[in-house]
Amino acid sequence: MGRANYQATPIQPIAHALIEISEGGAPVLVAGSYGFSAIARTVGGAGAGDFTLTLDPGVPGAVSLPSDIGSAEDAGRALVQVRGSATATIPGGTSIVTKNVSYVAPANPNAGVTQVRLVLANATPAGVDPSGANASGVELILLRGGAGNPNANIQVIGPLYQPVEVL
Amino acid sequence: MYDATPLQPIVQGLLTIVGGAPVFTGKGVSAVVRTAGGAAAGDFTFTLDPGVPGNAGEVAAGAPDIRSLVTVRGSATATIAGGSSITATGITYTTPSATDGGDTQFRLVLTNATPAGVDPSGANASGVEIALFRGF
Repeated sequence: MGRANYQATPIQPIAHALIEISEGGAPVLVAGSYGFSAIARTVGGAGAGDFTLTLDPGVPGAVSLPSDIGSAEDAGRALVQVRGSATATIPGGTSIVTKNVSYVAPANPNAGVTQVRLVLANATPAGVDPSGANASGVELILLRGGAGNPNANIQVIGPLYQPVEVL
Repeated sequence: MYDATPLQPIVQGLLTIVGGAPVFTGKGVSAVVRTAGGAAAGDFTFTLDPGVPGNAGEVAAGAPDIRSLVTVRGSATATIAGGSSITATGITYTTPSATDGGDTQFRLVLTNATPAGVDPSGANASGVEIALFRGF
Protein backbone atom coordinates (compact mmCIF):
# COMPACT_ATOMS: atom_id res chain seq x y z
CA MET A 1 0.00 0.00 0.00
CA GLY A 2 1.34 3.42 -0.89
CA ARG A 3 1.90 6.15 1.61
CA ALA A 4 2.26 9.92 1.69
CA ASN A 5 4.87 11.92 3.57
CA TYR A 6 3.96 14.81 5.84
CA GLN A 7 5.70 17.61 7.62
CA ALA A 8 6.93 17.25 11.20
CA THR A 9 5.79 19.89 13.70
CA PRO A 10 7.31 19.63 17.16
CA ILE A 11 5.03 19.87 20.19
CA GLN A 12 6.33 20.41 23.71
CA PRO A 13 4.44 19.08 26.74
CA ILE A 14 4.60 21.76 29.44
CA ALA A 15 2.16 20.48 32.05
CA HIS A 16 0.11 17.43 32.91
CA ALA A 17 -2.23 16.78 35.78
CA LEU A 18 -4.90 14.62 37.30
CA ILE A 19 -7.59 16.80 38.85
CA GLU A 20 -9.81 15.41 41.56
CA ILE A 21 -12.21 16.81 44.16
CA SER A 22 -11.20 16.37 47.79
CA GLU A 23 -13.55 15.12 50.50
CA GLY A 24 -13.87 18.75 51.52
CA GLY A 25 -15.12 19.67 48.06
CA ALA A 26 -12.01 21.48 46.83
CA PRO A 27 -10.25 20.79 43.53
CA VAL A 28 -6.80 19.27 43.94
CA LEU A 29 -3.85 18.42 41.75
CA VAL A 30 -3.08 14.80 42.54
CA ALA A 31 0.52 13.97 43.39
CA GLY A 32 2.40 13.17 40.22
CA SER A 33 1.00 16.18 38.40
CA TYR A 34 3.60 18.54 36.97
CA GLY A 35 3.67 21.99 35.45
CA PHE A 36 0.81 23.50 37.45
CA SER A 37 1.46 25.30 40.72
CA ALA A 38 -2.16 25.78 41.84
CA ILE A 39 -5.80 25.06 41.10
CA ALA A 40 -8.88 26.90 42.36
CA ARG A 41 -12.53 27.27 41.48
CA THR A 42 -12.89 30.10 38.96
CA VAL A 43 -13.82 33.35 40.66
CA GLY A 44 -17.18 34.47 39.30
CA GLY A 45 -17.56 31.21 37.36
CA ALA A 46 -20.02 28.34 37.58
CA GLY A 47 -20.38 26.95 41.07
CA ALA A 48 -19.15 23.52 39.98
CA GLY A 49 -16.95 22.19 37.21
CA ASP A 50 -15.20 25.51 36.62
CA PHE A 51 -11.52 25.61 37.55
CA THR A 52 -8.57 27.93 37.02
CA LEU A 53 -5.13 26.35 36.95
CA THR A 54 -1.94 28.37 37.38
CA LEU A 55 1.09 27.33 35.37
CA ASP A 56 4.37 26.72 37.12
CA PRO A 57 6.85 29.23 35.64
CA GLY A 58 9.68 26.76 36.05
CA VAL A 59 13.12 27.89 34.94
CA PRO A 60 13.09 31.33 33.25
CA GLY A 61 13.37 30.98 29.52
CA ALA A 62 12.40 27.34 29.51
CA VAL A 63 8.98 27.05 27.85
CA SER A 64 6.06 29.46 28.04
CA LEU A 65 2.80 30.26 26.31
CA PRO A 66 2.60 33.44 24.24
CA SER A 67 0.21 36.20 25.27
CA ASP A 68 -1.34 36.31 21.80
CA ILE A 69 -2.70 32.85 22.35
CA GLY A 70 -5.81 33.25 20.24
CA SER A 71 -3.91 33.51 17.00
CA ALA A 72 -0.35 32.42 17.72
CA GLU A 73 0.77 29.36 15.84
CA ASP A 74 2.74 28.14 18.82
CA ALA A 75 -0.05 28.53 21.36
CA GLY A 76 -1.49 26.02 23.78
CA ARG A 77 -2.90 22.68 22.74
CA ALA A 78 -4.76 20.81 25.46
CA LEU A 79 -5.82 17.22 25.86
CA VAL A 80 -8.66 16.68 28.35
CA GLN A 81 -9.88 13.21 29.26
CA VAL A 82 -12.50 12.42 31.90
CA ARG A 83 -11.99 9.35 34.08
CA GLY A 84 -15.14 7.28 34.38
CA SER A 85 -17.03 6.60 37.58
CA ALA A 86 -18.04 3.19 38.91
CA THR A 87 -21.29 4.76 40.10
CA ALA A 88 -22.20 6.54 36.86
CA THR A 89 -25.49 5.68 35.10
CA ILE A 90 -23.34 3.45 32.94
CA PRO A 91 -20.62 2.21 35.31
CA GLY A 92 -17.26 3.37 34.08
CA GLY A 93 -18.88 6.20 32.16
CA THR A 94 -19.47 9.84 32.98
CA SER A 95 -22.17 12.50 32.92
CA ILE A 96 -19.71 15.10 31.64
CA VAL A 97 -20.43 15.79 27.97
CA THR A 98 -18.46 18.98 27.36
CA LYS A 99 -14.97 19.79 28.58
CA ASN A 100 -13.54 23.10 27.42
CA VAL A 101 -10.35 25.02 27.95
CA SER A 102 -9.61 28.70 27.58
CA TYR A 103 -6.59 30.78 28.41
CA VAL A 104 -6.79 33.62 30.90
CA ALA A 105 -5.53 36.85 29.37
CA PRO A 106 -2.60 38.28 31.34
CA ALA A 107 -2.95 41.70 32.97
CA ASN A 108 0.10 42.82 31.04
CA PRO A 109 -0.55 42.25 27.32
CA ASN A 110 3.17 41.76 26.75
CA ALA A 111 3.40 38.99 29.32
CA GLY A 112 2.83 35.33 28.65
CA VAL A 113 -0.30 33.42 29.61
CA THR A 114 -0.02 32.00 33.12
CA GLN A 115 -3.46 30.51 33.74
CA VAL A 116 -5.74 28.01 32.06
CA ARG A 117 -9.48 27.70 32.68
CA LEU A 118 -11.22 24.33 32.49
CA VAL A 119 -15.02 24.07 32.36
CA LEU A 120 -16.88 20.75 32.66
CA ALA A 121 -20.63 20.49 32.02
CA ASN A 122 -23.33 17.85 31.73
CA ALA A 123 -26.12 17.57 29.17
CA THR A 124 -28.41 20.05 30.94
CA PRO A 125 -26.01 22.00 30.52
CA ALA A 126 -24.82 22.67 34.05
CA GLY A 127 -21.33 22.77 35.48
CA VAL A 128 -20.45 19.55 37.29
CA ASP A 129 -17.46 18.47 39.33
CA PRO A 130 -15.57 15.35 38.20
CA SER A 131 -16.45 13.39 41.33
CA GLY A 132 -19.01 10.94 42.66
CA ALA A 133 -21.32 9.58 39.99
CA ASN A 134 -20.18 12.25 37.52
CA ALA A 135 -16.58 11.10 37.12
CA SER A 136 -13.45 10.05 38.95
CA GLY A 137 -11.25 12.97 38.01
CA VAL A 138 -9.96 14.59 34.83
CA GLU A 139 -6.68 14.09 33.07
CA LEU A 140 -5.20 17.24 31.51
CA ILE A 141 -2.14 17.54 29.31
CA LEU A 142 -1.06 20.97 28.13
CA LEU A 143 1.23 21.19 25.12
CA ARG A 144 2.86 24.07 23.37
CA GLY A 145 2.68 23.89 19.61
CA GLY A 146 5.49 25.00 17.32
CA ALA A 147 8.03 24.33 20.03
CA GLY A 148 11.00 23.84 17.74
CA ASN A 149 12.27 23.63 14.22
CA PRO A 150 9.29 22.54 12.08
CA ASN A 151 11.55 20.87 9.59
CA ALA A 152 13.46 18.80 12.12
CA ASN A 153 13.06 15.07 11.79
CA ILE A 154 12.89 14.56 15.54
CA GLN A 155 10.52 13.17 18.12
CA VAL A 156 9.95 15.86 20.73
CA ILE A 157 8.69 14.05 23.80
CA GLY A 158 10.57 15.37 26.81
CA PRO A 159 11.89 18.79 27.91
CA LEU A 160 13.60 20.85 25.26
CA TYR A 161 16.00 22.22 27.85
CA GLN A 162 17.56 19.49 29.90
CA PRO A 163 18.82 20.25 33.41
CA VAL A 164 22.57 20.54 33.76
CA GLU A 165 24.19 18.41 36.40
CA VAL A 166 26.53 20.45 38.62
CA LEU A 167 29.42 18.38 39.94
CA MET B 1 8.70 -0.53 33.73
CA TYR B 2 6.89 -0.08 30.45
CA ASP B 3 7.81 0.19 26.85
CA ALA B 4 8.39 3.65 25.35
CA THR B 5 6.39 4.46 22.23
CA PRO B 6 7.35 7.50 20.14
CA LEU B 7 4.69 9.81 18.75
CA GLN B 8 5.57 12.22 15.97
CA PRO B 9 3.39 15.36 15.80
CA ILE B 10 2.59 16.19 12.19
CA VAL B 11 -0.18 18.78 12.70
CA GLN B 12 -0.86 21.34 15.43
CA GLY B 13 -3.05 24.40 15.24
CA LEU B 14 -6.25 26.24 15.98
CA LEU B 15 -9.39 26.21 13.83
CA THR B 16 -11.45 29.39 14.00
CA ILE B 17 -14.23 30.97 11.97
CA VAL B 18 -13.39 34.35 10.44
CA GLY B 19 -16.02 36.14 8.41
CA GLY B 20 -17.98 32.91 8.17
CA ALA B 21 -15.06 30.96 6.71
CA PRO B 22 -12.87 28.37 8.47
CA VAL B 23 -9.27 29.41 9.17
CA PHE B 24 -6.47 27.17 10.41
CA THR B 25 -3.63 28.84 12.30
CA GLY B 26 -0.75 26.49 12.94
CA LYS B 27 1.43 24.01 11.13
CA GLY B 28 0.94 20.87 9.08
CA VAL B 29 -2.24 21.91 7.25
CA SER B 30 -2.10 23.63 3.88
CA ALA B 31 -5.84 24.31 3.47
CA VAL B 32 -9.20 24.04 5.27
CA VAL B 33 -12.64 24.29 3.67
CA ARG B 34 -16.22 23.40 4.53
CA THR B 35 -16.78 19.80 3.49
CA ALA B 36 -18.38 19.57 0.06
CA GLY B 37 -21.74 17.84 0.46
CA GLY B 38 -21.39 17.87 4.24
CA ALA B 39 -23.29 19.61 7.00
CA ALA B 40 -23.78 23.33 6.45
CA ALA B 41 -21.97 24.11 9.69
CA GLY B 42 -19.34 22.38 11.79
CA ASP B 43 -18.07 20.16 8.96
CA PHE B 44 -14.56 20.85 7.71
CA THR B 45 -12.01 19.18 5.45
CA PHE B 46 -8.31 19.78 6.05
CA THR B 47 -5.56 19.12 3.53
CA LEU B 48 -2.29 17.93 5.02
CA ASP B 49 0.86 19.88 4.24
CA PRO B 50 3.32 17.51 2.57
CA GLY B 51 6.25 19.60 3.82
CA VAL B 52 9.67 18.24 3.05
CA PRO B 53 9.42 14.71 1.65
CA GLY B 54 10.47 12.08 4.10
CA ASN B 55 10.82 14.29 7.16
CA ALA B 56 7.93 12.96 9.21
CA GLY B 57 7.24 9.48 8.06
CA GLU B 58 4.11 8.53 6.22
CA VAL B 59 0.33 8.32 6.59
CA ALA B 60 -1.06 5.06 5.31
CA ALA B 61 -4.46 4.80 3.65
CA GLY B 62 -7.07 4.74 6.39
CA ALA B 63 -4.58 6.33 8.79
CA PRO B 64 -4.25 3.31 11.11
CA ASP B 65 -1.19 4.88 12.74
CA ILE B 66 -2.55 8.41 13.29
CA ARG B 67 -3.71 9.64 16.72
CA SER B 68 -5.56 12.93 17.16
CA LEU B 69 -6.18 15.59 19.78
CA VAL B 70 -9.34 17.67 19.39
CA THR B 71 -10.16 20.12 22.18
CA VAL B 72 -12.87 22.76 21.95
CA ARG B 73 -11.98 26.14 23.38
CA GLY B 74 -14.70 27.52 25.61
CA SER B 75 -16.70 30.66 24.87
CA ALA B 76 -17.25 33.51 27.30
CA THR B 77 -20.80 33.82 25.94
CA ALA B 78 -21.76 30.14 26.21
CA THR B 79 -24.68 29.12 28.45
CA ILE B 80 -22.03 28.27 31.00
CA ALA B 81 -19.30 30.89 30.54
CA GLY B 82 -16.09 29.20 29.49
CA GLY B 83 -18.05 26.18 28.24
CA SER B 84 -19.36 25.12 24.85
CA SER B 85 -22.46 23.79 23.10
CA ILE B 86 -20.35 21.33 21.10
CA THR B 87 -20.93 17.88 22.58
CA ALA B 88 -19.36 15.65 19.95
CA THR B 89 -16.23 15.87 17.82
CA GLY B 90 -15.64 13.30 15.13
CA ILE B 91 -12.56 12.89 12.96
CA THR B 92 -12.15 10.77 9.84
CA TYR B 93 -9.46 10.41 7.21
CA THR B 94 -10.26 10.75 3.55
CA THR B 95 -9.01 10.98 0.01
CA PRO B 96 -6.09 8.63 -0.59
CA SER B 97 -3.46 10.14 -2.82
CA ALA B 98 -3.82 9.26 -6.49
CA THR B 99 -0.07 8.95 -6.75
CA ASP B 100 0.89 6.75 -3.84
CA GLY B 101 -2.32 5.72 -2.03
CA GLY B 102 -1.61 7.53 1.25
CA ASP B 103 -4.15 9.78 2.95
CA THR B 104 -3.98 13.47 2.14
CA GLN B 105 -6.97 14.93 4.01
CA PHE B 106 -8.91 14.60 7.25
CA ARG B 107 -12.45 15.63 8.09
CA LEU B 108 -13.65 17.12 11.39
CA VAL B 109 -17.34 17.25 12.32
CA LEU B 110 -18.60 19.21 15.32
CA THR B 111 -22.15 18.77 16.60
CA ASN B 112 -24.32 19.93 19.47
CA ALA B 113 -26.78 17.89 21.56
CA THR B 114 -29.56 18.03 18.94
CA PRO B 115 -27.44 16.73 17.09
CA ALA B 116 -26.75 19.38 14.47
CA GLY B 117 -23.51 20.64 12.99
CA VAL B 118 -22.29 23.84 14.64
CA ASP B 119 -19.37 26.12 13.97
CA PRO B 120 -16.88 26.71 16.82
CA SER B 121 -17.64 30.41 17.06
CA GLY B 122 -19.81 32.87 18.95
CA ALA B 123 -21.63 31.30 21.88
CA ASN B 124 -20.81 27.80 20.63
CA ALA B 125 -17.05 27.95 21.18
CA SER B 126 -13.91 29.99 20.56
CA GLY B 127 -12.20 27.67 18.15
CA VAL B 128 -10.89 24.13 18.21
CA GLU B 129 -7.38 23.00 19.03
CA ILE B 130 -6.19 20.20 16.77
CA ALA B 131 -3.09 18.04 16.80
CA LEU B 132 -2.32 14.90 14.83
CA PHE B 133 0.37 12.48 15.83
CA ARG B 134 1.82 9.58 13.94
CA GLY B 135 2.51 6.59 16.11
CA PHE B 136 5.49 4.35 15.52
